[in-house]
Amino acid sequence: MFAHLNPIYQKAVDQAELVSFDVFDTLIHRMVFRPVNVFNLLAKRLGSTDIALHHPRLVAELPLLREQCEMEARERHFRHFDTHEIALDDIYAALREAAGIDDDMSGQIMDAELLLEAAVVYPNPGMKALYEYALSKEKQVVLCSDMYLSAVQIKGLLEKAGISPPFELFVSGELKKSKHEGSMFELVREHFGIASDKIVHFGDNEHSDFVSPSTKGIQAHHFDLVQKHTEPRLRFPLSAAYAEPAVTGLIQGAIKNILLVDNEAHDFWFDIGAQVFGPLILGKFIWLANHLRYHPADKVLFFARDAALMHALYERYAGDFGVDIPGEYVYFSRATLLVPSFTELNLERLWHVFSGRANRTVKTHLSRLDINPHLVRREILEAGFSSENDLAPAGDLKMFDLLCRIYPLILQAASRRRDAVTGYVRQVAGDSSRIAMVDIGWVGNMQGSFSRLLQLSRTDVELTGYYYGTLESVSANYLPRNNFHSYLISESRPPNRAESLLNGGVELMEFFHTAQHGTTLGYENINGTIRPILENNPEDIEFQRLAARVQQGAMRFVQTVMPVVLSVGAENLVSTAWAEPFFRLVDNPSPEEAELLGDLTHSDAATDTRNRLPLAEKLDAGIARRKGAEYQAAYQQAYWKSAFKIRNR
Amino acid sequence: MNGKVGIITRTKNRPVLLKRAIESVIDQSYENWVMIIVNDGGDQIAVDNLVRHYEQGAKNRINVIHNEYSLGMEAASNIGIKAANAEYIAIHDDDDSWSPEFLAIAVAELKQAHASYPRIMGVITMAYIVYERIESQQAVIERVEEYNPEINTGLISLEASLIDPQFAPIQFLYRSETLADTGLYREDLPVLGDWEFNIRFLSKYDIFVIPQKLAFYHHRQHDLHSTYGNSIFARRERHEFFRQLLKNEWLRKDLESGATSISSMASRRPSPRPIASLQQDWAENGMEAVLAHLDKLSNRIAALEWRRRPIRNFLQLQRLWLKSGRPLHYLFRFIESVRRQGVAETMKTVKLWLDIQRSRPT
Repeated sequence: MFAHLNPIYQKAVDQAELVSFDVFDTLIHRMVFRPVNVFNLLAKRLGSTDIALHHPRLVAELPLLREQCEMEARERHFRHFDTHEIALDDIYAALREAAGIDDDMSGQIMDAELLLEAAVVYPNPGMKALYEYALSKEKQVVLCSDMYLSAVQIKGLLEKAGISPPFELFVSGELKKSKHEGSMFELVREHFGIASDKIVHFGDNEHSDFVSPSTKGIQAHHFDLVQKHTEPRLRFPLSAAYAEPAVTGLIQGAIKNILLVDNEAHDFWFDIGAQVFGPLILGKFIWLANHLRYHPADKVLFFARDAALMHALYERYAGDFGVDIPGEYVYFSRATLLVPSFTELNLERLWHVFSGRANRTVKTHLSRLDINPHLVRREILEAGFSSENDLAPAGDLKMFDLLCRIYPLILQAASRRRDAVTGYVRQVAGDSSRIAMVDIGWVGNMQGSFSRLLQLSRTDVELTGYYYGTLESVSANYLPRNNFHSYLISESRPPNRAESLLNGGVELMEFFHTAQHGTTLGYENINGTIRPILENNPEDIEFQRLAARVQQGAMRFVQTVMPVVLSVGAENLVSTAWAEPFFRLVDNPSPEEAELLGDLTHSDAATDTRNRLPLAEKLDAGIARRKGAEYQAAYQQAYWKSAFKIRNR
Repeated sequence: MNGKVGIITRTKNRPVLLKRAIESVIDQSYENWVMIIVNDGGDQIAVDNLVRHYEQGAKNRINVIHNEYSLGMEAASNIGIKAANAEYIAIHDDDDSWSPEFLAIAVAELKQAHASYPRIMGVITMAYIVYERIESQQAVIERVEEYNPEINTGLISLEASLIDPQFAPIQFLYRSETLADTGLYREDLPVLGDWEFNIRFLSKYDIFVIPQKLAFYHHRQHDLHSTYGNSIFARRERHEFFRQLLKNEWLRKDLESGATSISSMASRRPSPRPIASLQQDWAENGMEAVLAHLDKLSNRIAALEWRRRPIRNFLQLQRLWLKSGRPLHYLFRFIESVRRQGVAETMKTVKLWLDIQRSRPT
């Protein structure tokens, strides 16, 4: 049962009569990066209350004010009682004075702080096991804390973390003795009547938990696992200043939790999921749920394949967020939806069929539209090609010219492909008149296609899409009764974020969201119900396997942090700061990240899943060193530019 | 009559185009329509043969009315409308075309819009201009260009319609009951009868804009004197003549009724604002900013008169270009503009730019 214990600690416990533990950051942790982040979260929690309505400045400045009041209370206490040790009441007395609020309001804020402390607390598994080992060896156990909370409050937190008596608890705020000064250790020794050399103490603070007890003759162990082994593994840099410390502190705190308790976190794919993509998808989910609370719909459609994970989150947590709209996962792909939706000539939308980085011939392009090149030879020549076998790279204006010349054939071909998918569109729309749809985003083609096909039979449906982002060309899909909402970028704004997404972010995000099934190839009617036909592509299956590991990590992050999110109030945590770790990855990947994720492949064009290109190809060393034309061409083709540079420097 | 669309097609000796128009209608996914082809004094046998060829697809929904001699475009429209007996009316000229979903979407959207706002009695869809030529009994498409792209949402402006036509007949579908109030098309107008009708329509009802490009307004610039010419190119001068005739007529009517007076008209000046704001942008942000403005002003560009002094204009343009300090930049911009929007639109842009230059204080 205790096989995984640190043998040095285990031996120390064996030899001691009294085992002493520090409490905060030793036996229990708070799911924030630094203790001050609790106050950031407190301000968020109060953000939707009447306190913020009547005292907006107080709530906005609360984190700093709360810290200042603690310092003020300590100094005041020292002047009167010759000790810095204070209780929570002393801090709130200072806050009442500083903010000019009454007892009732300060009481409400204090209660909120205590509730939040309880929400963020979790045990350190190693130390908890050591504590249980000490009890199993019938050692006396004392817990020593330099803290302003009362013993009763701290016991409540310990209880929540699964650490129950028998233990005695010494708290500096009540006893006016501290570990920092060493006086608490003297008190422990007197109270238990045990010689110093029979006492062992474990704690995380170098001075209070190691230097100070050592000077009193107590065997002390500096428990620095978290700082030494966990914090360096955070992928999210600690040095940067973030606009939203409540969210970023919570992200880092949750990741520390996962790194501490979960051995799986040592797998790269799981870890990148937990540290990067977990915060990203949670941020979008919070944003989505908040929208759905205030803009209800009859149903929420989650579009395959990129909304599969979001659908799983929705099924599990929507109720906790106060959203009770039925959700449904629906099978569409750009291949099945885009071309049949050409009810009109819309060159911007049409152009997406011909996007992609690989060079294709005119004949290949036309075959996607079921157009026989031999029947349009005159148009091919007049557009400037010498034959249908000419290459037509992405963005080739000759191809654009050709499409314009043959548009009537395109509209007819689209019309021929329409029946099956239109039936499925009607089936999933049912009799709903307000439909919310969730997908990854970019130019709104899926919504635009769905809406166009539905428009052929219904003009009473309001369709609202919820995306990570939309690019400027989304306007090609603006239709009556259609709304587009975006979490991170809207119509390519802000431009710096759009730039990141266009230089690798989109492909990384699409990899992460890949569902555990193939793309939708078409539909079949079975006993009056239209069902999707899914692709079975071996290369895609390997891709799905890796994505599944990343998704497991992401879901672990969500599970870990969700209780705190619910406690703070999801509506108070709507923020794009959840995406900071993701943008860090896109813009500034580590060599390991560039190497492993750079080898992932992405389907080259909207309607072609079999032709895949690497996100950031590693070139031959000679080509990379010379940085010549071949390098430049490969750089232009690379989806993920920053990783390409790292892999080929 | 419930839900039926009366599609009126006016034709005269253009079998190649009429064939395409019939296919455009037969291909509609919305099937409750009747097509009235009014052959306005053209070869009757050719039209009958063509209609017979499509008998199977038409399922008795195409009727042909032959005029012994030409009565004019609008008289042909009225004959067709009277024969249609339909809930909705659409004028589908013989040289234009629709996407197969035009009627399905236009009818559904009109029903929806009318149910919410009863004054909405018509819809237009957005359109492309299709430039083409006739070759070996076939229309060969050369390029396409968005038609009035700035009119892409909301309602058609009556005010803007008074200055210029805002849409082509092929874009428009309306409820036939409106004809009781508006009256039919004016048969005395050889051109612009649709514009005049639209003004009357808009003075009583609203027209909703469907932001989908489902209509195709075909132009043949290089067939100026053949039967395949477009009226607006082949008869440009007549268009200008009747445009002014109508405007004078409207103003005269207002003056007579006392809705406006000669003195109030005399005190009006052309609004200097667009030019002034362009000048300011030019001074502050250079040519880029002016070009950005031009897209928005595209429907006003046509209204600007180009001074008919080509040699002087060319020399002045050349001088300004060389003095710009960035001749290569502007050359590339020019080439890019030609590629993007064609020579005609680029020339309009250049002309406006030259006008702005001339009106700048020196």
